[in-house]
Amino acid sequence: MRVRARGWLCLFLACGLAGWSCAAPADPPVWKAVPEVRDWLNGAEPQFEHLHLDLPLVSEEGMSVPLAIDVTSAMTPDDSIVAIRVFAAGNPQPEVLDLTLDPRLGRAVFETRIRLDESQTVLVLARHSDGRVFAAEQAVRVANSGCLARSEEAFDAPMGEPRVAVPDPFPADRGHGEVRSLILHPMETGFREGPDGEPLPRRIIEDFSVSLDGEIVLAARFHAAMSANPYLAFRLAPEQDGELVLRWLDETGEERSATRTVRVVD
Amino acid sequence: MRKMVSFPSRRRRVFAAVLATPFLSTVMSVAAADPVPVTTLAYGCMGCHAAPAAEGSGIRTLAGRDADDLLAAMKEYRAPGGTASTSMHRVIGGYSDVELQALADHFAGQEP
Amino acid sequence: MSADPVRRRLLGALGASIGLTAAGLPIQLSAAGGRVVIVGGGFGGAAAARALRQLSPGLDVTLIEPSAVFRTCPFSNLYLGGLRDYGSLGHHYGYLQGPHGIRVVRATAVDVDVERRRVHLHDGGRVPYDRLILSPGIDMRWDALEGYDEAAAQRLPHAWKAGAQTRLLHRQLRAMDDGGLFVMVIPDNPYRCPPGPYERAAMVAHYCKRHKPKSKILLLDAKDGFSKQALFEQGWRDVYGDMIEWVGFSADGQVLRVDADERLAETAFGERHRAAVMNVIPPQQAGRIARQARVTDSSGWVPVKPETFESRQVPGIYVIGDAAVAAPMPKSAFCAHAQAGVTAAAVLASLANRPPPSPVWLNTCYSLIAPDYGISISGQYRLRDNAIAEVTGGISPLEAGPGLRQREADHARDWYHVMTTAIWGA
Ligand SMILES: Cc1cc2nc3c(=O)[nH]c(=O)nc-3n(C[C@H](O)[C@H](O)[C@H](O)COP(=O)(O)OP(=O)(O)OC[C@H]3O[C@@H](n4cnc5c(N)ncnc54)[C@H](O)[C@@H]3O)c2cc1C
Repeated sequence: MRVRARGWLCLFLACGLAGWSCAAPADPPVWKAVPEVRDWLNGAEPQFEHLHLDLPLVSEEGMSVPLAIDVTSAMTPDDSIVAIRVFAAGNPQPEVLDLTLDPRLGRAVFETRIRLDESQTVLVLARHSDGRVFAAEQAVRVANSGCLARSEEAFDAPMGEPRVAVPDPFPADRGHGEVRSLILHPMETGFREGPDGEPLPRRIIEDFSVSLDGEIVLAARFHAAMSANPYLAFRLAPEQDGELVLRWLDETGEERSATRTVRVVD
Repeated sequence: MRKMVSFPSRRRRVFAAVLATPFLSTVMSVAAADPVPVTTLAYGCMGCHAAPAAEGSGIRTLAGRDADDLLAAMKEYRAPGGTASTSMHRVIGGYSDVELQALADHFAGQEP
Repeated sequence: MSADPVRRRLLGALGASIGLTAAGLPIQLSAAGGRVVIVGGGFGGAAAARALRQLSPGLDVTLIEPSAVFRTCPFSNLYLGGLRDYGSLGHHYGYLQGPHGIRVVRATAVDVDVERRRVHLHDGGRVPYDRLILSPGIDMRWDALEGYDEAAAQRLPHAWKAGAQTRLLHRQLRAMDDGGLFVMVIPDNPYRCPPGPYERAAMVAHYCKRHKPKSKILLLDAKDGFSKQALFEQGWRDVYGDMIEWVGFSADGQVLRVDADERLAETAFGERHRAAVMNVIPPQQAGRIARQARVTDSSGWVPVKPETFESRQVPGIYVIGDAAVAAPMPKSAFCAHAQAGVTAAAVLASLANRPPPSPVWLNTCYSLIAPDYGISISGQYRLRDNAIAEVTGGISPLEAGPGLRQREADHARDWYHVMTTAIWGA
């Protein structure tokens, strides 16, 4: 009798809790809560599929968190991913990275390194050419270990020489290869104080573009949440030999570029 | 509206924390939590001061020492600008008065 | 939910023996019951066995460890540098077994039957437990770096678990020609002992300075910064001039492929470095038995409840040391020992059906730049908002005279002596 009574009590409590959790207003999802995200969605409702995110569950320091994005797509002209947005709503500015894609990339696969100010959920959205928006999100705990803390010294050096790695040769038949790019740059956010307590002036690379034989195949907008010395790896599926030009433009107007010959296996 | 707009000062603190990452040399505000048992507190000290192993080394054993001496020494390490040591002054910051007293009594009551 | 039979059995017995002092602090347990089994007799596991028997002298504690002698990673860099002999890194289990009444089973745990609460041993043996503590340390991720598998490690040693690998690297360094290039490949976080690679660089330089002064040490790092970086860079420069060169991620330090036959490391942007001796520290994960027990997550490490280090995935299994996700605590021997103490108290509380006591953990990692030049980092950790947080801490000052560096070097040696004696008795 007693046991049964307790059983009922449990059942009652469970129901009560379940009912409550349904009734209680849950935190709205990031994609609904952040105005910058809503603006970009422009009424579209994201589908949490076709997009895979790779981020550490726990990062011991937030200055350079590796992020990999993989959107399933054939990347043909009428069935492709046209744009990707990365948001970190726990940062003072939620935007991290905007990408505009061309089917000639062959795959919608990217790797980069980002800044996470505190523990938070990272949201990635990908717009398909038919208007659908795919999404994936992941919570990252930033543990801020003093053991790994480092001081990024302010350096007002100009942009450094870029580094670019291109597969040589690329596989044939629209096979894709990974192109890696990195440029030395402080990506000074404007939020950081110098030794005198005054904010260090903001200076970031805002625009990055990749063109193949004169036509842009990837355009990126970097925000302050991209790690210093921004790194971006992407795929490219050239159909024939050609010339690849990567260009970085920082907000002071300074520009760097790198040119690489593209060879496709015959 | 978003918090960054309502608390503009926070804006600066945030990326500063990620970018400058000053080491946490100050003591975080200690929220009221359940007291840590003295056995747990004392075990922490054993990472360096385990007795009797510490004998013959440059690290002093704590067992059987006078409680007042121990307490005074620990408070001295904890005081801002107090005794500079290799690491004592860096780890002792988080301990409350009550904890230090409990530790001093605990070690004083042990067989040397 | 059925009540845990052990808990029920213990409640009566323990009600009398556990009490609270007026100050709310628990007095020592005298005769707790329940079988606690520990897998791994390294810093975490052996310390947990000691702590359990100290808190509860009659407790039934079994320690499963395949080796007769435990070789410490701490100070293995000093062996490479010629400051210590290999024998001094070894510690036996006799003292735990004899005076401390811990049952040491010389075996490898190959599986855990979480339903029946039994550990399966390599020889078919079964060890039943009421609470299980795993402290298996790390395994290398042999799939993570192209060209680096177990066979490659016989030519390009990692020496990141002390033992045969450490001796191999020692032999290779001794056999290297003066002027040879020593290359170290260093992974991204998290990995065992964040300052370890940089101390190793200093110790290799210490050896080279005396015996192979024309040699160079090149550190190829997947990260853009590291633990105690400014102190290390200052120390390297002061003591070894330009013998050590560090190349971080942004300077193309990330190695994506190694070739064991050619002793070649290839970086993300296509630089190829050929070494006379190559020490590859690959990405790591929790020791295999943690995966067998299904306590690891997709990261390969073990998520734990911060107040006790009980697995978030399997009740009754506690995971301490390098295998656990304890960030911001580093993966150090000091932390493994600290976690052992807190978790021992939590295990006893759980057997007695009591809430776990509030934890506090300390850490100090010493690194030697030279025999008379030590640096350190310390931290104190507590629970904040149900997560582990660093409440205070700091590193050695950048501006310091030789006196402090000497004292820290002395303390490093004292720490090693105290820690190993406290755990293994010799
Ligand atoms: C070069 C180097 C230098 C270091 N220096 C320092 C230092 O100065 N200070 C410091 O604090 N830390 C240092 N560390 C880190 C330290 O070695 C580790 O953090 C520490 O050993 C972790 O303890 P653990 O118990 O998790 O693992 P370990 O100490 O590695 O112990 C794991 C044990 O488990 C056993 N085991 C594994 N699987 C099984 C199984 N299936 N069945 C039975 N037994 C099993 C193993 O045989 C081993 O004995 C250093 C590390 C390296 C590599």
